[in-house]
Amino acid sequence: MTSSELDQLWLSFLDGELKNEDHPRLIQWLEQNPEARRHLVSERQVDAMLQQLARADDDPEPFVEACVARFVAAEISPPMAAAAAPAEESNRSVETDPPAPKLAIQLQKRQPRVRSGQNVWRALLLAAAMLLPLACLAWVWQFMAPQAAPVTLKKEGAIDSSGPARPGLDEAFADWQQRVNRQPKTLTPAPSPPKPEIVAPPPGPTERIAKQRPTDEQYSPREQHAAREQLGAGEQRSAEPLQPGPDADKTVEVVSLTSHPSARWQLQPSPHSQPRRYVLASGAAQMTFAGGSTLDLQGPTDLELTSDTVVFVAYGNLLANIAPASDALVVRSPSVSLQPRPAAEFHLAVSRSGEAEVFVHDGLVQIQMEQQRHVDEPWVLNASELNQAVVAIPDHSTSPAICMARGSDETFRGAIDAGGKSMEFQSGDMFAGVLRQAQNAHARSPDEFLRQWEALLVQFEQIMQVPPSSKTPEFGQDPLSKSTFEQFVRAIGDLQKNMRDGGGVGSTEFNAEQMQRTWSEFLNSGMQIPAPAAGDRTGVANARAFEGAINMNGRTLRFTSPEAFRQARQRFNR
Amino acid sequence: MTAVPKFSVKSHTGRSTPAIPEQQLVDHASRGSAEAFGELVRRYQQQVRGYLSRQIFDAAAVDDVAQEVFIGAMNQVSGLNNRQSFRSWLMTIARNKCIDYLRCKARPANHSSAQIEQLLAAEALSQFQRADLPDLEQRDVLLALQHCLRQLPPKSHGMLTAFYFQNQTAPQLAATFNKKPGAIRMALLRIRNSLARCIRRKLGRDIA
Repeated sequence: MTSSELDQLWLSFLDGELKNEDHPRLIQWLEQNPEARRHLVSERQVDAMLQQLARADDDPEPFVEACVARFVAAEISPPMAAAAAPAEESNRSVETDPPAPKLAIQLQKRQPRVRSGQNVWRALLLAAAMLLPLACLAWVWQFMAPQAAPVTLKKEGAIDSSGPARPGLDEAFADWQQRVNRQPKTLTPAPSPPKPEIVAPPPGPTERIAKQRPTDEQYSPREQHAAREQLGAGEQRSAEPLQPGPDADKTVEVVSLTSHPSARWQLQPSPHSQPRRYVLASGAAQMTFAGGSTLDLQGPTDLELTSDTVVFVAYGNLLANIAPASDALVVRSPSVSLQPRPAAEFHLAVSRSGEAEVFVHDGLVQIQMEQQRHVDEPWVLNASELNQAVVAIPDHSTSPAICMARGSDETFRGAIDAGGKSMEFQSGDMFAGVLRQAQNAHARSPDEFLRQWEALLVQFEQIMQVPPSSKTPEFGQDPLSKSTFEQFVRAIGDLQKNMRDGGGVGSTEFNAEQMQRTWSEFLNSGMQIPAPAAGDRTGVANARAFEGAINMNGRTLRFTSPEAFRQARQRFNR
Repeated sequence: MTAVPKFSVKSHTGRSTPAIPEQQLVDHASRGSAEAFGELVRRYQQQVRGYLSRQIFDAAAVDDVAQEVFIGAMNQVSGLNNRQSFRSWLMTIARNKCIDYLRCKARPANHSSAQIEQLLAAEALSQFQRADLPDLEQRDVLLALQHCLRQLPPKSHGMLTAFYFQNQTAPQLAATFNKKPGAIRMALLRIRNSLARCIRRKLGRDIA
């Protein structure tokens, strides 16, 4: 693509006129060309600077007043402001600069400082000013109440539970809510899956969910418009068959949607629209696929049917129940791809930042990190052993992504992926140690971290003599603690060097068993690298007699002396 | 307790008079004076918003992040040892907030338009994290921009001025320059590209 073509595509994108077929082209070009990304970022920076210059003489007072209003609000009600602070504040990486501002924490720390007389009086005055209109409203209300309908005040989104009791349905929903919201810590026999009767949730959980309901500001104007249309058209849609695509001649029902009366849809596509994206703001709904598999959704949830058998969950909660004889259903999220086997039942919770939690209640579910591309065998979660997993995606492309899976019997599997290269662990301590140091290294310098990570994997592969096709060497149950990432890399390099000096690693006969033993000794010794000893093939203390072999044209030459082995290698190399 | 003075002195353009020392303002603001805090915001808002707007290409988001910078600064002010350096400290907070915002934007996206934004946010973040401390460089970038604006051919300069500083739209400019609106938008894009190259040459590095 030439610079002119890129400019044309970019201009179309800025004007919102980029064609659908050009989107992947532009994305691919940007992914492959750092210079193109730099070019476009510079252009936007200049645009932003010019806009800022043009606004330089604007009256700053509206901005100042907005800041002061927030300042005063924070002074009066720190806990409220702390609760409203973004979650990212608590996840700030290590910085060498002055302490990063953590609004939530600091506001709580500041609370005791409202002890000066002036601030107390200020707070009291403002609180009185806020209460006065409420008192007036209450006074007016007592005169209006007799004429008004007999309603009770309740929070927005709360369900009036004063109607006739529905004990069986309420209990079923409460059970469903409990299973969706709270994963059991211990393995229990999977109860019978909740049936699709979606009923009025009890007031407690509903009220909590209503608070989590996203505000309009979190959605684009397109979504808000669609939501207004949807909400205006009524909240309940029952068992509406959806079509697979815009081709009306091929009407095949692939999924039906059942909404609970409490369901509030932020976005619900028409049957023929593509892509079929659903945003359930609150409440519950159920999707039933043609094969009988069901997805019970709990709002807020944003998902998209990317094909008849693939569901992409941007965020939200769902309980999947796969029919025994159904076709393969794939549930994807920004961080993980799940392929449940028939008769599986699992719960998936995806946060707005993309982290996914999976809990398998029944059957088998194949799980794979979206970032992990070089895996020979994806993991399989099952209800009896490895039944829950957490997958976190990186802040940006160079950060390490992680996947952890645990079983009720303390089984552990972990994987760290950075730059498309992964390392797997079966020891939780080792996983945590490497992850902590990797994150610290990344916080210091993402580029340097990637370089170190790649070097580490190359060295592991060489040491462990894993086949070149595999990128996921495993290290058994050996613990790793109290090590820094750099020390780890350096130690591995030293170990490798020592083994080379001992004549081991260059040998084609240096087998995996010996290497595993070396590795264990290395870890058990606190990663101390002893000086290489002559004739010591591994460099560790309990050296054995030297054995070397060179295979050439099907014939194996064996050596018992490192000197003879080196000389032979030099001869053959010449 | 010392009475908190009123800080209502400001000029027509909103700029405050320099009569009140910065340290005094910071002290009073840290004790809860909304007037002192407002005066600090008034004094530094242009620098903070200007700095943020170079990385955050959404004007509304710039103002949101800038508010967080000032509120965050006040909540961290007890950790500021040398109050004389409030400005550079404030700009460092702005840098951290900006990194937070870009990290959030640079997360993998599932829609194609968002993927493009995500790629660019990741690139901006990468450039940004390589950059020096903000207060040392901002003036250099603005000077470089000023220099490069002067280097533009008269026609380009006129088009850019009309678009950005006289609030003329592309169709209005198209009528003036006897071109189609699309051609005007492309011309503006190319002018911005040439400005970016010029600034990079002048600074010897990226704008971030």
